[in-house]
Amino acid sequence: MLQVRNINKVYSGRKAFRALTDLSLTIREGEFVGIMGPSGSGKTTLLNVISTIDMPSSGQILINGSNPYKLRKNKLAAFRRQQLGFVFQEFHLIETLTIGENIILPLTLDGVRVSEMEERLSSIIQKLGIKDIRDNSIFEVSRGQQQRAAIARAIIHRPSLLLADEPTGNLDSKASRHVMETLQQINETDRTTMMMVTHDPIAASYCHRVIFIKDGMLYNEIVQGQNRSAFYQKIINAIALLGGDANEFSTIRV
Amino acid sequence: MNFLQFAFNNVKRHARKYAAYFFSSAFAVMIFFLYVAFSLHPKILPSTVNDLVSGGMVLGAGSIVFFSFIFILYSTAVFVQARSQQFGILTILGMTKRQLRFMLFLEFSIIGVGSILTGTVTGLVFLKLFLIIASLAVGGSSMTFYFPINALETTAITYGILFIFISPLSYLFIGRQPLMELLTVRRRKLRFRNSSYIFATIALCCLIWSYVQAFRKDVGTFLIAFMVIHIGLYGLFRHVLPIVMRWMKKIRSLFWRKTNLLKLSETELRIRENGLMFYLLTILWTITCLCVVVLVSIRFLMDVTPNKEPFQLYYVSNLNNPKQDTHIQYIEQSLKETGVTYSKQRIPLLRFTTTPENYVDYFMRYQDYVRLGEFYKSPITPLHEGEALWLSRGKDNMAKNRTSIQIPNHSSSLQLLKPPDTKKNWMPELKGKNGSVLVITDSLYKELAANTAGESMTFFGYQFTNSSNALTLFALVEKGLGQDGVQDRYQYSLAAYYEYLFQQMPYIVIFIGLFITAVFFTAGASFVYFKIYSDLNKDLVQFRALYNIGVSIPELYQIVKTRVVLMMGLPSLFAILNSAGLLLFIKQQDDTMFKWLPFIVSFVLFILIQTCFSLILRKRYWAHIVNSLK
Repeated sequence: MLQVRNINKVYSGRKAFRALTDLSLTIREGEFVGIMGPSGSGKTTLLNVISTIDMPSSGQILINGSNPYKLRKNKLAAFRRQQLGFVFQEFHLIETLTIGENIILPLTLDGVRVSEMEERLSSIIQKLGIKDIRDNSIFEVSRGQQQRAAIARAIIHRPSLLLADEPTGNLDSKASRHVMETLQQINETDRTTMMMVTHDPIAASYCHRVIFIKDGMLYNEIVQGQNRSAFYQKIINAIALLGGDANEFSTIRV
Repeated sequence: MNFLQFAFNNVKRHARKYAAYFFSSAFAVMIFFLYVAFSLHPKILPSTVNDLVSGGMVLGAGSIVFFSFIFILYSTAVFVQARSQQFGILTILGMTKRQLRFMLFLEFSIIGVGSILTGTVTGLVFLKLFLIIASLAVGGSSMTFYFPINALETTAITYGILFIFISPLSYLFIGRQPLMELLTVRRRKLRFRNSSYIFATIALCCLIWSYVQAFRKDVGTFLIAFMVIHIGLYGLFRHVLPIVMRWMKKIRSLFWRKTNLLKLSETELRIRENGLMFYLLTILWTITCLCVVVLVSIRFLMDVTPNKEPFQLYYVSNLNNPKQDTHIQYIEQSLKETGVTYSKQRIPLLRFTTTPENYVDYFMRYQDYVRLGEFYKSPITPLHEGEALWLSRGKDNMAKNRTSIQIPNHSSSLQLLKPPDTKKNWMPELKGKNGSVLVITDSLYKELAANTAGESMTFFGYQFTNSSNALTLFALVEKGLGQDGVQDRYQYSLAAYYEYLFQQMPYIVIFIGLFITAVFFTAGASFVYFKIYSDLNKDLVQFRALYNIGVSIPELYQIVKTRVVLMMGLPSLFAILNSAGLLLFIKQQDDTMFKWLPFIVSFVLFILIQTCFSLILRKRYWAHIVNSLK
């Protein structure tokens, strides 16, 4: 599904900075992968490179077997909105639109028929439990609801890959659990492939597999067994081993 | 670090934040300085004795101060709003209200002094440039550069006072907000102010009624319409358009199509939020549009005005004038010296005060009239007993209506005839009340000449065939013959000189008008610019988000285009409608005043300028967004 081969990313500037070094990873169809690592380890750079927002300095990325970097700029935009879905820490909902309008935005840009949009919208808001706030402005709903709306927007066009950048970073624990359950549910029912960058071990414990990155290189990888709480303990141990800053430890324990 | 240093560092280290505010202030200062410096120019000053011109000058200065005040006040409000979070943090850190006020005062003083300095220095540079352009426009008399000390003083004092007043006003903008709101300003809710159907209907009625009045001829109701249209316009932006937008959003097939989703909802929000701004811009640009129309009309009038004076230089000598020969000799000597070639007419005249209007009329012989006809190569009108033909109508406006005159001590009255070609006077209008020149039959002239009631005199007229050195000649003649041109025993006129001056006057009027118009245009455009830029940071985040979820660059450009076109186009459209209505009404009242061609030319000009502005604005704004996406 997603293949990343020997990616390097160097930020040139007054002082050149190597963000990613020879990084390779593969994500299979329907997999839910978490990316973790200390601040400045290159998690977000990796996500940006995969999401075609940023260009890798060298290396190859294949999404569904095609290389998006060979596309021209406007084709790239179309590729991004048809093949990829994004969930951001800051939600990035459009202020001028209502929740419902925000969700159908990718479809309108693609010129989908109104009746079909209507259909998909009603089914998705039903599924994510945000039916009641469909016509509200984004200032009138809670952050958890905003993030679920953002998830709805990211999956309404049935992308082959959903990319999430710290989706729970701005949420309280209850809302984060809700959001993570939503993501898990989507992954299970729609078989959507997901990749999530996170700091939060609880959020990471919902993944099938967690990849640890340090200083732009692959460091470790752990796979969920049968039990989520055991997986959580493994993640905590891995973080401790990684020796990130003290604030890397989550204060929330189950 | 003492408090002064703190304020200074605040400005210095946030130079980018303060830049927009600083430049808009400096711009306002520069415009005012340029205007004052220009109007106090030693070459311009003497010509401002004319009431119209000096009135226009004062009006111009007033409007510039007014609009720059509004502009600075507005940008202050935006600026202070944008910084309210900082004020919140400072308050939490324990800054007292007094210190906050003092800090604002210091900051505005720093910016004020800075912008006055920048404004005047750039103003000096532009003054030089303007004077070059001005001398090209006015022509002939060269406008030399001078160091405008008076203008510097005026500008410094005016804007010094303005900036002193701004800081307490700026405090008002933040004074009432609770601390919590200051701190959380970023997540401020968008205010969805409701539009009411009742007000929308009223506004629409007002608007339509006002526009209909333009087609009627009733002055009274038109004046009422002049007031009512303001209600209509404000209501239109505040209530009617939001309702229309809401309706449009209800049409799913329209609203849920491509970027329409973003465009329409954004447009609705902008209109809702900026109703007052749209209204103000409409009024501002209506005035601007009318200015353009007046300017273009004057320009057109000037082109069609023929050379009205038949003789560039004439000398009328009374019978008892001992200096006649010396003067004529002097004039001809001067003509020769300056190399002006000419043809000369010598015509004897009789002067009477005629009844019933008690006009001073000058009479000439039919045989001289025939000679003039040959000279002008124009057909002449035959004259019978008891008739008189006027060759110049006279200075009095009522004179065109008189049909017969009565010469004192003469039994029969004379019937007045109009010459076939009324466009051009064959003879100048001479000294005295009205002072028209009439042709009478030779026999009557002889009879009147014998009568001692009239005064006989001789007219010497010079018509130039080459007038390149005319200005030097006029100066010479004026020096030799005396200043005021009319003496007891003789009169002379440098007709062309005054005509030349008169023609120059509209050029000065045009220049000032052009200047004011330019200021109005830029004021409006900078208003929009400032409005768009005040939201730039918020917009950048939104555009980033759109780009990330896969909105392509051309689609983003569409959104930017809609935004700028809306902000510039909507007020411009109504400005044109308003001025068209007003002009239509004026044209119905007095058809001779305005012609259609200048109207169309000015509207096209107006639209062109606005298009240019919006193109520039769009380019600049788009450059910011593209930069942030990279």
